[in-house]
Amino acid sequence: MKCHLFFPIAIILLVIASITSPFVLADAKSDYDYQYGQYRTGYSEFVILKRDYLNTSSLDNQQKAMLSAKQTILARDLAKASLNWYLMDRIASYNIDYNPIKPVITSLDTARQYFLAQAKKSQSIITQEDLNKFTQSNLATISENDSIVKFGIVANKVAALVRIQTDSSIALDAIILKLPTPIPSGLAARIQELKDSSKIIDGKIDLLANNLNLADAVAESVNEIFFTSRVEKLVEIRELQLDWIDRLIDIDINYVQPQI
Amino acid sequence: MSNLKFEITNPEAVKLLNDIKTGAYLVPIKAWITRFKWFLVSGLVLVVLLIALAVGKAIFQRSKPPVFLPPDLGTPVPTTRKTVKSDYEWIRQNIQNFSTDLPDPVIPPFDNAIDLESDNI
Repeated sequence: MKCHLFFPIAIILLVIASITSPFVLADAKSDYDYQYGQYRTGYSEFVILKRDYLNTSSLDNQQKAMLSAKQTILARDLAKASLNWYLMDRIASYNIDYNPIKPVITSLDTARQYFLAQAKKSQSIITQEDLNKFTQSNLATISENDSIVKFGIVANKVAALVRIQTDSSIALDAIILKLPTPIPSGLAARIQELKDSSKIIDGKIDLLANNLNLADAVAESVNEIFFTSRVEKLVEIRELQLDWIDRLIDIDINYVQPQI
Repeated sequence: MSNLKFEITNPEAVKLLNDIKTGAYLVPIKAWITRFKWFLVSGLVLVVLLIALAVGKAIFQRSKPPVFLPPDLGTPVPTTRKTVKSDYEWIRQNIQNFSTDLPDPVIPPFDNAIDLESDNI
């Protein structure tokens, strides 16, 4: 009897699992979107309840505002942790082993752990005094942890550029193996130019990555040109990479691909 | 054998025969022709012209004008040339898709000073 029941139940469970799995296995982006949505909703409610409390300082209004503050702090810190996780996930998706951005990844994870700990800690707030203490303590340490996300955003771009460089290098090696031997002198010169250009691009990416000064993260992150100065570098490197791949593809079409 | 001879005695018939013999019966006709000769000539010319037009039209319709056409060049065949594609187009696509915008993602605003004391709302 039990055996007869087992298979239909197992099939039903499998069907349910296949339907719900996309929701259960949420990726870093959707988790961040969800947490930030929670924070926005919670914060707008908190603003209203706090205003009510400031206008009418009743015990009921205080309790409502306190509960809302707790929920909003929890949502805020979870959203920040999710943002850091999202950036770490994006960097990891490039599947590169690049040392200059490893300290940034470590810092992102440390900041994420900090936000998760703060989210947990926020649930011990009971009184208004607890809330004040928590916020004061938070303000003392938050700047450094908040600043890391800016470095993470730049590190994510650097990771993308390194991935392109890695793919380009693999492509060049593959093309060299397919070239007719002996390689004509003109073509050999073009290959050498590509190798030299690749080193120049690598150097520019290294410079961009090594300029992520985590030691003075707070002061640097509040700099107005933190992003704008780096955008110029990204544009320059992207143009160089485009020119490089155009030249590689030209060699591939003219010397490697079968002519029709 | 009797030789029969008819003798016309009717005076009108005799007169008609005499007119025929003398040509007197043509006198009114000649007079009429003389009177209307220009009308007759004009009518004749008109008839001749109409006949000429009819004949000319018939000849024109019988002989069709030659049609001049350009020589047949045949159906034009599009010249399709297969383009050689590189195996590394995807790298170029990745570079083109790479966004240089910063910050990406945008950092949302967070309130780090949540409390019930201040009026910072």
